[in-house]
Amino acid sequence: MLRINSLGVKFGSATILSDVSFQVSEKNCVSIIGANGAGKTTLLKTISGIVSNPTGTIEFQGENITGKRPDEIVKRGIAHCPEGRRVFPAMSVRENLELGGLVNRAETPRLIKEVCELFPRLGERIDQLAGTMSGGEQQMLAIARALMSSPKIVMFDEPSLGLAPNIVEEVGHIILDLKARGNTILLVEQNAFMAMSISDYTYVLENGEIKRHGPSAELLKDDYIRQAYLGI
Amino acid sequence: MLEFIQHCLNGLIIGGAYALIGVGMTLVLGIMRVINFAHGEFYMLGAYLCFTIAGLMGLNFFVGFSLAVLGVGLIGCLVERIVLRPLRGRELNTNMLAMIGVSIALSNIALIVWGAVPQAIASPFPAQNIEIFGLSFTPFRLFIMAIAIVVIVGVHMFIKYTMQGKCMRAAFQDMEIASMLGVRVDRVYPITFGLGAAMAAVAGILLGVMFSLKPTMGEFAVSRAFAVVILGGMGSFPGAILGGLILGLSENLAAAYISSGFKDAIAFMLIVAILIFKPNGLMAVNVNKK
Ligand SMILES: Nc1ncnc2c1ncn2[C@@H]1O[C@H](COP(=O)(O)OP(=O)(O)O)[C@@H](O)[C@H]1O
Ligand SMILES: [Mg+2]
Repeated sequence: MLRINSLGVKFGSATILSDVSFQVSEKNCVSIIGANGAGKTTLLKTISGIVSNPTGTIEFQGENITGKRPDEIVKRGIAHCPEGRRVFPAMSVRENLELGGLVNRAETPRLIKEVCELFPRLGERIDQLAGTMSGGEQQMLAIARALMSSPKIVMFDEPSLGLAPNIVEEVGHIILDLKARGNTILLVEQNAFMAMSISDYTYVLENGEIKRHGPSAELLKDDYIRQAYLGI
Repeated sequence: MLEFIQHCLNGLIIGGAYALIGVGMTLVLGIMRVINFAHGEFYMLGAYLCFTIAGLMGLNFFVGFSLAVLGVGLIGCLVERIVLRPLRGRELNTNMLAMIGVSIALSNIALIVWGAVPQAIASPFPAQNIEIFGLSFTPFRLFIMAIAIVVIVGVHMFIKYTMQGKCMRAAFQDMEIASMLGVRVDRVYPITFGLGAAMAAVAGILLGVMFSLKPTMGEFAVSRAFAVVILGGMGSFPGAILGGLILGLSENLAAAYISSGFKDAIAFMLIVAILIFKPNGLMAVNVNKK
C-alpha cells in the first residue's frame, strides 16, 4: 500500500535520512523504532509532504506521490498524527476536528459523531478549548483529528510520548482497535516495547538508516534489539 | 449636557472608523505577525480608488466604494505574494523594513497618479442633518457608524465561524500542522493580508469623504492604527475596537472643550497616560504564544 524506495533527506549539508526503504501492506501495523534524533519524525513529515525535496520515491497505492503538496497527500488517504500532539490550543475540540476533516468536509458531521463515540470524553468536551485539556485527552484529540480525514493509512509519531503508563496502554489499544477496523497503521516510536508489542512488522532506524527489520515477534527476541532498545 | 452627548457620539463615530483601521492592522499582526507599515497606504488607496471611480468616472458612490475596497483587497494580496512571501520565516525586522518600503512606494505612486493637490469625494447623502432625540447627525456620519459595525461584526463572524476563518486561525497557531491537515497556507496568507488591507480601505473612504484626500494621508491612518493597536493590546480584536473608540472620543472631546489645534496631542497624551497604568494595553494577548 505504502512503499518507500531509498528515501533520502538532507537539511543543508546534514544528511538526516539516507537510503530508507520499507513498505506497509494493507491492513498491517508496521512500526519504526529508533532513538531520539534517528530521523523518525523527519521520515513521517517527508511522507506527509511537509519536508520537501527528498530523493528517492514514495508510492501510495501504486501512485508516485513524491513531491506532492500536503493537502494532496492527506486527500489521498494518508493521515498524520504528529509528535507532541500539536492540537490547536486556542480552538475548541470541535474546531480541531473540523480542521482534521478539511479534505472531506461533506463527511465532517458524520465523522465527528463517529470519533465522539470512539472517544466519549471528546464528545463531552466538544466546545472546550483544546489547550485546557490534559495530555492524555489531547492525544485522543490528535488521534481523532487524524481520523477525521477518513484515512486509508494513519501514521502515528510517538503517540506514547510524555503520557502516563496507563494512558500509553490505552493508546496502544486504540491503535489495535483501528487496525481491527481495517485501518493500515504506520507507528513510529521510541518506546520500542510498546511499538513491537502491537505491530506486525518492525523496522529499526538508526542515524537515518534502516539497520534491521523483521516480524515484530522475532525482533522482540533478537539479542541486539533486546540490548539496544529494550534494555534487557 | 445634550451638547456633551453630541460631542461624545461624534467622537465615537470617528472612533468607529479608527476601530476599522485598528482591527485591519490587528488581523495582520495577530494572524501573520507582520507589522504592516503600509496599512496607511491601503487606507489612502481605498479613498483614491473610490474618488477615481465615483468622482472622476462619475459612477455611483456605492459602486465606487465596493470596487475600491475590492481593488485594495486584491492589491493587498499582491503585496503579500510579491513582497512578503519570499521573506516568510525571516525575522520580524525584515518584514517591517519591507513594509516601510511598500509604504513609501505606494504613497509616491499615488503622488504621481493623483498629484499633490487635495481632492474630495462627495457624500452620496443629502447635506441636511438628521435629528434624533435632540441630537443631530449628518447622514454620512450615521453611514460611517453603520458600516463600521457591519464590517467589524462581519469580519469577526468570518474568522470565528467560516472554514476559511478557522484555517486562518489554525495556520496562525501552528502553520506546520495546519498545512499537514490540508490547509493551503500559501492561500491563507494573501487572503488574511488582503482582508486587513480592505478594512483599511473602507476606513479610508469613510474618512476621505469627511476630510480630504492627499497622497500622504496614510501617515494619519497609520499613526492611528499604531495608537489603537498598542492601546488595545497587540493582537486583540476587542482591544482594537475599544482603542479606536477611545481615541476618537478623546480627540473629539479635546477639540470641543480644550483646543482643536491640540486635539491630536491631547488624545495621544491620554493614550500614553493609559499605557503607564496598563503597559500591555487594555486587552493584552500574548502574540508570541505558540
Ligand atoms: N528543521 C530541521 N533542521 C535541521 N535539522 C533538523 C531539523 N529537524 C530535525 N533535524 C535533525 O534531524 C535529525 C532527526 O530528527 P528527527 O527526525 O526529529 O528525529 P526523531 O524524530 O527520530 O527524534 C536530528 O539530528 C535533528 O537534529
Ligand atoms: Mg521525533
